[in-house]
Amino acid sequence: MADEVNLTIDGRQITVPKGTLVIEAAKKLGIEIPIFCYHPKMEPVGACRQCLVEIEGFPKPQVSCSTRVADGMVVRTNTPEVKQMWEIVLEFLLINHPLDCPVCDRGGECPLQDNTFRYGPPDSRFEHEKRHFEKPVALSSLVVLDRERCILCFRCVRFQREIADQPDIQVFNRGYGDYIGIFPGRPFDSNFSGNTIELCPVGALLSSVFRFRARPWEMTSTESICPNCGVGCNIRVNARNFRRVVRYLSRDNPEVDGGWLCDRGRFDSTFINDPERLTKPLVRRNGELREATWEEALEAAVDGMKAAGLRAAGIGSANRTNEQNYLFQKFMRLVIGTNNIDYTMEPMAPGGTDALVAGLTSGFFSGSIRDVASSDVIVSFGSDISQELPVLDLWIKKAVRKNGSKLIFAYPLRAELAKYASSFLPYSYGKEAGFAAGLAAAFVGKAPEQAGGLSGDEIESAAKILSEAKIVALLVSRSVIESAPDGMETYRALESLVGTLEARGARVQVMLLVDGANTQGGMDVGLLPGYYPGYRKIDESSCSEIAELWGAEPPPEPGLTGWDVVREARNGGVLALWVMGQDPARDLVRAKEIAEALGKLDFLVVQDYFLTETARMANVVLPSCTFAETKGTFTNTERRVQRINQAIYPMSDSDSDTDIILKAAFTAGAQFEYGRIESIFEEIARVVPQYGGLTFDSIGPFGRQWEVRR
Amino acid sequence: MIAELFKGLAVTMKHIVARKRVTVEYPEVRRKLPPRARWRHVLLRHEDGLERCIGCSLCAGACPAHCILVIAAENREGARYSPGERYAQVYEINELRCIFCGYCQDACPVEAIILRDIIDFSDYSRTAEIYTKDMLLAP
Repeated sequence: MADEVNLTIDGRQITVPKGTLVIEAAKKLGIEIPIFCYHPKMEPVGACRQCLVEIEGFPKPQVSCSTRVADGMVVRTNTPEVKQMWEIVLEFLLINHPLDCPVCDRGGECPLQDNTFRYGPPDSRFEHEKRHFEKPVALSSLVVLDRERCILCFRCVRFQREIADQPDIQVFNRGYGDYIGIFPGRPFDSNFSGNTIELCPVGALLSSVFRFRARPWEMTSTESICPNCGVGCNIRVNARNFRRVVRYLSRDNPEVDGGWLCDRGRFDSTFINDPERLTKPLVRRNGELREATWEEALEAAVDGMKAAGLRAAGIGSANRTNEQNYLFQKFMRLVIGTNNIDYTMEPMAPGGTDALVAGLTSGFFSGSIRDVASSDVIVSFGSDISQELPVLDLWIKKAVRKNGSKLIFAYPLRAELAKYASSFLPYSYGKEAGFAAGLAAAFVGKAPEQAGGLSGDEIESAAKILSEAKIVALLVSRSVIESAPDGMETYRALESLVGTLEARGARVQVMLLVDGANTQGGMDVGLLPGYYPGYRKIDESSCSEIAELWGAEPPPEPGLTGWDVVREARNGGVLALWVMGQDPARDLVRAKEIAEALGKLDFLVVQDYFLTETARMANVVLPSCTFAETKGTFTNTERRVQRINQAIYPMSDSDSDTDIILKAAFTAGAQFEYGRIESIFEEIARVVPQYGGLTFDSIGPFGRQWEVRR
Repeated sequence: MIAELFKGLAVTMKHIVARKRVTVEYPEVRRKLPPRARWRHVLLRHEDGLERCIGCSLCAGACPAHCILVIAAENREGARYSPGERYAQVYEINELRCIFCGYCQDACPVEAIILRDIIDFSDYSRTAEIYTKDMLLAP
């Protein structure tokens, strides 16, 4: 075939696609070539000269990381000359390297160390004073630079330029005098600066959070999922002595994160071992929260909730696992006896949640993150992706800059992605439905004068881009459907827009963007007042269906939403509330109103890591474990169920949320029996049809998407 | 028969009076240990009083008994413990677990830790045998 090329490396034949780099062809054969600057996800640059090989017909050795294969090429990596070249290049790189490996964080996991041991000279012949720089220099509050150790591979510079497109870090000067630096007086201010630390093949770029915390051989590595946003990037949690989490590293899942992490996620590890963590249950006595035993606290919590009877409510969490949320809603429904369950306390549009559920169950929201890479037009509606789902922002930037995809960015503010948009549509807040309807109308040639606070021309230009599209990725924020005042209308307008696009022959993938790490999972397993687990709308038939699955009858009436609970709490309609893993009195936009309403409650139970604003108001506070101390699953924004594993022992007297709920159920005299976390997941797979057939093992290290049928 | 008795006692008396004594009256008297005796660890200082230890954890990595714990921190302005960036904030050796192999001394890149001929460190509790940095540091 014309697209394939035959070549010989070290006497072995291989056929690879045209345009492959020599080093990649060698990798396929299992031949190792030492590298520093080359990285498979970035453009080759050939800066470090470490990967030199002999190629027949070339007068001089060639860098295998930037030479593309040709038909009949004969490459040699195993001759004494090549080995000598590798040794010479290493000796050269080590001339100015300070060799302070004992105090360097990289020592032990350092490519320069590894390559030197393997291919390098036994000792240095350099007798003069090494190059000196001031060290270490803080580039930002997160990244520290040690220029003496730098071998100038430019991986950091290239990452910031090619992938993050925030070229804050640069090479200064030329030749012997060149060094890596930032613009004077301006910190290294990027959402993705942490990736440069992981990319650095020496200890030149270091994390100020991790610096000196542990040596590589002292840490255990646990596969987990970042709990910070809906993307659900795969991480490795590094811990010391199974007690202290010291850092997160990326774990390449090509379908989700592509091997990158944002700074918000990467540097978030410190909260786990914070000395402020709650270590003992607290019970309010004589107006003050005092330490209590677990038995006392659970008894007080269950009694207080039961005293409220039907006027009790529960709020689950978007950063707790599926298992925890599932048990929580089961506990609220069966033991406390209420359907007043929600995953948030923010105001919802009437019918917003129904629209969302309709979209999820009908298969309207069936898109995936990888669709962004394969589409020619990306429409982002209602989310500042760079801030809310940062790693998805990298996917969009890559699609726009590398694949030439067009971006239609609809968001009320000029956010970062607006700069990449072929059409930026700053509609007005609260007019999402008008905007969506306008766009749908413009597309069929009936452009309105004005829609959603935008002029007809603006809408029309976007419609024109859409009309030329063959594959469209439509990213819709949960907020424009669920919390905007006219969610159902927005959903209908989007449906008609997608309908017309598809009628024209375009392929449209619609993905729902949720903000929390497990907002999606929380909804799936039943953290909704109007739905039983698996989006079963609460009515007689679904009630008996669930009763059969659970062996006990759940309450038959739909409950109050989180925001209804706030309103009802003010006038005594809700007397007791159980909040698991949230701080609504501080984190939400309407926090003040919520705090005021919470103050009026008779009884409040809070399950959390810290004594939050909400916990300060509580009658009972139960210390719970972070994601690093438990096992479970998260479901991300593309409905991918991913596993988290336990990295450290629970801190002090805190307990995992599943165990807390199980103990509370036991205290209340209910029969909840689960041997292991896996058995809870097995039950979820039985009860939630979307999770049918999934098991802990079948999810695998990279997760499995639950299927939606269209 | 009586003669035999005296004969035996004479031997005893001879040993009491004339022979060199083997028992050393420890602790009043101390035997000189061989020059390479490896007993309790000492963390050395530089001549200017700074600690030699840089908190690199290589001793803990080399230790076959896993009896060393090092937690490092950064030297700051006004709180400098060692030359360079890094120092050992916590340095603990569980002497009960130590097998006195001397690998830590071998691994140390700055010759900070050394096994000296200090043999009298028995105590009444196990926790007392966990030597912390201030107990190990040379004065």
